[in-house]
Amino acid sequence: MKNKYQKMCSQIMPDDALTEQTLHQFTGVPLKQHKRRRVWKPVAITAAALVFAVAFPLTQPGVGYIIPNDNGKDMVTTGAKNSFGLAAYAADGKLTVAANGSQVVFGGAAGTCGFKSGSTIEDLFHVAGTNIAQLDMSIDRGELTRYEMVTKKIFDAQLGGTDRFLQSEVKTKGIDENFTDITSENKDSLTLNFGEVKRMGKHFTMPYEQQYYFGLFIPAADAAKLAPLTDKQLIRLGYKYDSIALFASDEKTGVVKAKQFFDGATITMKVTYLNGHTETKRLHLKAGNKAFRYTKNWSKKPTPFFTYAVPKGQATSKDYSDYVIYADIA
Amino acid sequence: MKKEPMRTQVFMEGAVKRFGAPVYRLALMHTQNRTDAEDVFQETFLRLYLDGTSFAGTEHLKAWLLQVTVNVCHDLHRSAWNRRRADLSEDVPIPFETEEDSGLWTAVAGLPKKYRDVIHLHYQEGYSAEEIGNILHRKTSTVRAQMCRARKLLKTKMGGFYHEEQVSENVQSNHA
Repeated sequence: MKNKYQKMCSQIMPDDALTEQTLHQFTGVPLKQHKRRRVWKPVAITAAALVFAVAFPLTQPGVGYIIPNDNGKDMVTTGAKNSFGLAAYAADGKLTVAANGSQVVFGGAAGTCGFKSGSTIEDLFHVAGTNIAQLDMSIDRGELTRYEMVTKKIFDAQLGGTDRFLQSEVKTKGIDENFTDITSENKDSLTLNFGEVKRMGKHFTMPYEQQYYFGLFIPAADAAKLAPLTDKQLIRLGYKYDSIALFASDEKTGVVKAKQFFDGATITMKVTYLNGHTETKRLHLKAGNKAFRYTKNWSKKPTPFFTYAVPKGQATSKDYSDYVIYADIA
Repeated sequence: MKKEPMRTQVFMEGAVKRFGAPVYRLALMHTQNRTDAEDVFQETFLRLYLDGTSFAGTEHLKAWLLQVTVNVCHDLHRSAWNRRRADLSEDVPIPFETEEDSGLWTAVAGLPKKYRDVIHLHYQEGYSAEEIGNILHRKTSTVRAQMCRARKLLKTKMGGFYHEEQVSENVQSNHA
């Protein structure tokens, strides 16, 4: 009887969709998005920031210059002229460095969603430039976050909070998903790199360091207005808003409430250069759908156009990942 | 008192992947409704996410999950929503490979709920009467009595299809 019962039960398995949906509760955004953007975008942003920091001054007359060093090899110095700008994603998904008067889309993957205090938005931007000593930043809606890559021991990282990079890192290191390969002998030597997010509030001032990226944060009070929680059981458990509804993509419009919240917000960035001079720039945030066109094999390819200016032959994308926050740089 | 998430995403992925099937099976066996079983499945892992229990091992975690599954099933049945709702359509039957499997499912499904849990935890998960008692918050003697009655009922329902192996109630399983 036992064998027959077990044989019968072996045919009952939860759907993959149910498993994925369940895991979605613990991430706040669709898993599909995480997997796709886990590693490459932060790496690409870093690369772009470095390219910008090094190459941009060289494109400006009298700004960057190359001098020979003692070994006869060329050595690049930082620019002689103070400058700062943004490194972010262009609407076509390629990295670009923004110049004044242009438009950039925030991109990347950031941190975790806190269900109590609020949620982070996964779109990041980076401030790059030369001779920057101090950075002062403020936002008139929601809050700002600071993001950096850190190295931690796997066990400490697990205890420290959720982490999107952990699983892939663990697999890379040849550890099975159930952690049975982790022993007391090897656990201290197992480290991983992952993104750590710090909530910075509406305004902050900090010494400039290039490794930091910045993102957006919706405090729980604002999130509760956007996506009120109706489940009494979850309210009892301390939840303040419906995190799934907050990040859900509207089927008809593709709008994601969490990102739409920042439509119209302004970020003010003020840098103080090493010589004491200051410069201020403002980012006027917008949220909107990218356009797309069909490729020859009928897959969708996002294009660098937004809802308000979709060219003929293209359509507005309703995909979650194509609803983005972007900015006009003044 | 507010509760914060106590588990990492990786821990949750591991738990769902490894123990998702046992939780879902128990939930489905208890509720006899796929939608309810899916709700129970999600709620069970949500509770794990928010719970701070330190687990001594995987078996401890499994037992905890099954215990919570049963509790969530009870909560679901007690909920006002469940008491007032009316099913608009019948649940789609599970496509078992053989008629015998299908008959066995129907027979067990026809048992009272309190017997279904006991039968499932014993036959499927291999728990002893004492362990089942701990999971279901019942006395060991009660579990033994319910197991005995459940078997009798199954014999009656299944007739000649019921073949019990030599099962001892006091068989010690591997579960610590």
